[in-house]
Amino acid sequence: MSSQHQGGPVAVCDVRLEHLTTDLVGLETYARALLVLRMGSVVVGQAWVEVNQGRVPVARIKELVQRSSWSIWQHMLAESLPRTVLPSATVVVCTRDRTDDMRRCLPGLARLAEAGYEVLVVDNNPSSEATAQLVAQYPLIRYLCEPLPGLDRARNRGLLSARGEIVAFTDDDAVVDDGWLEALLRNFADPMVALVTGITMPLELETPAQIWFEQAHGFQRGFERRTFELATINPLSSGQMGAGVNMAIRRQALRTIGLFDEALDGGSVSLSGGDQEFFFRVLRRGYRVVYEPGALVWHRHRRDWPSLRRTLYGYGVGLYAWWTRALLVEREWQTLIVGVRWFRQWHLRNLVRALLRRPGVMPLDLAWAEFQGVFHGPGAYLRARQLDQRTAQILQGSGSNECLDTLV
Amino acid sequence: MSHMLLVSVIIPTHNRRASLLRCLEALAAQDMPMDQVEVIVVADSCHDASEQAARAYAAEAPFQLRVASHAARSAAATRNLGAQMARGAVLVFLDDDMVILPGCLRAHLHALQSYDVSIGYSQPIIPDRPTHWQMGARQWWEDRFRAMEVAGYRFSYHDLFSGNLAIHAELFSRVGEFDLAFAGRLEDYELGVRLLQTGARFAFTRAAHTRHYEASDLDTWVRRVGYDGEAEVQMVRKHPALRSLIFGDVLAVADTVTKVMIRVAAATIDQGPQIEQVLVALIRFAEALTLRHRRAQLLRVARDYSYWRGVARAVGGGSRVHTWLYESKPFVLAADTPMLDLADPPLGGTLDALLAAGTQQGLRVTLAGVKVYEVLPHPAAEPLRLEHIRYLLREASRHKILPGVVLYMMQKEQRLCWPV
Repeated sequence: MSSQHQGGPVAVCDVRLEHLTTDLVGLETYARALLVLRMGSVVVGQAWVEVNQGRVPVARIKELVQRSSWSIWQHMLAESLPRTVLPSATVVVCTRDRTDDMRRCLPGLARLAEAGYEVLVVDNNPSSEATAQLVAQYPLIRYLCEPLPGLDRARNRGLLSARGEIVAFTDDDAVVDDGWLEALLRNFADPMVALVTGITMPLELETPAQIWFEQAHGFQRGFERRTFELATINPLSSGQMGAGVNMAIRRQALRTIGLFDEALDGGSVSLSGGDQEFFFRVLRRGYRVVYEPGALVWHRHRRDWPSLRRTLYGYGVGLYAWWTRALLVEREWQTLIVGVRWFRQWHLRNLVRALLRRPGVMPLDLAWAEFQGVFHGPGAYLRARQLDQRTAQILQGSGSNECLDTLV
Repeated sequence: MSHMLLVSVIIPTHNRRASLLRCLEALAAQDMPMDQVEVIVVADSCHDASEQAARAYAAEAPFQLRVASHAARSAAATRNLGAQMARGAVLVFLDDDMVILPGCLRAHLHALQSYDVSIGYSQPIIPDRPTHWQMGARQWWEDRFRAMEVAGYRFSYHDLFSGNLAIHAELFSRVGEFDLAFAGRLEDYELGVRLLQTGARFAFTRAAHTRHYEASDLDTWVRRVGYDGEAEVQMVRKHPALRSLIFGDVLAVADTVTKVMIRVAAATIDQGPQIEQVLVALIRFAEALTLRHRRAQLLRVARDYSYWRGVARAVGGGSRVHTWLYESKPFVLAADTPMLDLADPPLGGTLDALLAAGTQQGLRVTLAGVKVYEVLPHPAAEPLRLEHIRYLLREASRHKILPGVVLYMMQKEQRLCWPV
């Protein structure tokens, strides 16, 4: 993408519209900035702007804010709604050998723990004691170790160990903002809501890989609160509802929905897709999903290009892995149509356009990585299931699962 | 005070012995003095020994349990019989497929200190592996309760669910019990009409919590929708004021599907059951193939077909349906409809008078002269209050009100992006 060639890091600025009186200064090392426009804790919009001599003038910001009028009005409308009592909650962070990231993540979680919420760190198959020692510095945060590798195993461990009615998840490479948890929890007043996802903005845009990812993929899904249900969205495109880096789950609904599929996501041969597959099942079991732009998490995207390539390969594998599961386990016959259509209109098209060097296309190496992933997806999922017999139990019947019986 | 009988719980039952016993056992766990509670089970045309089982349970029940039985085949008559036997100051109607949670009766009693009718929360419970139908039913119920819960909700006659309902015994006999003419369907809505006409104040009480084991399925639903069609015609005959509300705008707002289904239903009254079976089979087929959009369309077709066939039966034949609809006039707001301007709202007594007039004739809500909302007259809803208008505006504001506000601000040359 063009940004890769433009080069130069991009500043990420948190702009509070209530206190917008002076220019943004001190951005000398940047040529561009991504403004995250906020009212209270709610993200009402974003804007990519040029930086002149380390400064973004306030007049320019005010001009840009006009485009966010509609979400600002929506936000003010939401503020006028009566507040309800929030349910109890547990925050779970799954981590694996990323002590540096955890160091940045923990202070925000510690504030939540001080506010009375239960906070769990699930250390997944760690190769050293470093994370355990780091967490030990925060007496209010509970440390758990999940010896078997796999992000979904760690998530399930968190779900089964949590005591709150709601379990909120974030990742170790993310930082939660003030008001994040409350914003997620408010949406559970509707008993049909089993899952709430929040908005995720980049923590930094220092490298071409991070800038490309934010512009082409990102985790941000718009600036308006949206509600999804089976009648209004195809559950196979659950990716547009959010991602596992910023989500909260109603624990009681797990009896019907089941746990995360341990044959999916990081640490398994399927590489990703565990969160998307779970979102799919939430809808399939008749629950609602809410996307809440008031619940903000800052995410550090992969810094180097090879990791980005691996990530995209993983997305290709994971997507077709979980679609394989949807077809075989959930008997979602539409997968056959959606799978072919998506391959033609996204993966194949991206690859062809990259080869033809059309303007604004995906870099060839990334398009190729994702394209390859697609072909490995179904096989990877079947292999992952063979590798783990325990998974099969969870698949066959969430109701009869003995772990789940302890839940409700 | 504790010697006084306070609550009579009335449980009508029909051949559901197991769930009746579950219901009674749950009642035993209510956290209030049991000498204030009596429970009346009325068995209607039971042949599964429900009555004997209930009598057997009476010996061990911590509360007074009285059992009666008759063969009326009518939920309305069964509830009325229970109410006639009742000696408590408060009647709680509870269905036999409910499991009452601790605190439920106390919550009802608390609500009845400030309101006339307390509608309890019947949480729908469906299996861990639900069918599409069960998921839809659960959502329908939860959404209804959730809507009633929001402050400023204006209750109307179709919010009265008799499955978990508390009402003062005196009021119940004053408005004249359930109407026996509505034997199968909508007898609770009909009671709601009469209650609201006497000015009764409704409350939704979420703390009056029961679990409702959802046992309906697609076939029964399609049939019931037909009975609803019949019952709504009957309702209009009894309360002509409701005619515009129920049938007034059908011809104006119906889309092609509905219009076609009205004609088809009117022409095929006798072949109805077969056609309904075919539609249900198609819906099941679409479900199996996960063709959700098709399924939703077919479900609508089945609903429309069954409903209008019911209406056709009730109005006396297919040929009369259109006459019936033409004779049902839509509500039209008169030129002298009261107006409430939000930019310059009247105060105190003037506002009350305006709202009282709005209850009868409807209300135009404007903002500096720009129309933002119209409240239509409602013959079977609570009297209009300012909090209702606030609620209505909030509900409509996502799409309708904001443009009005924008226009207003443009007139005044204000910046849209306040407070930036």
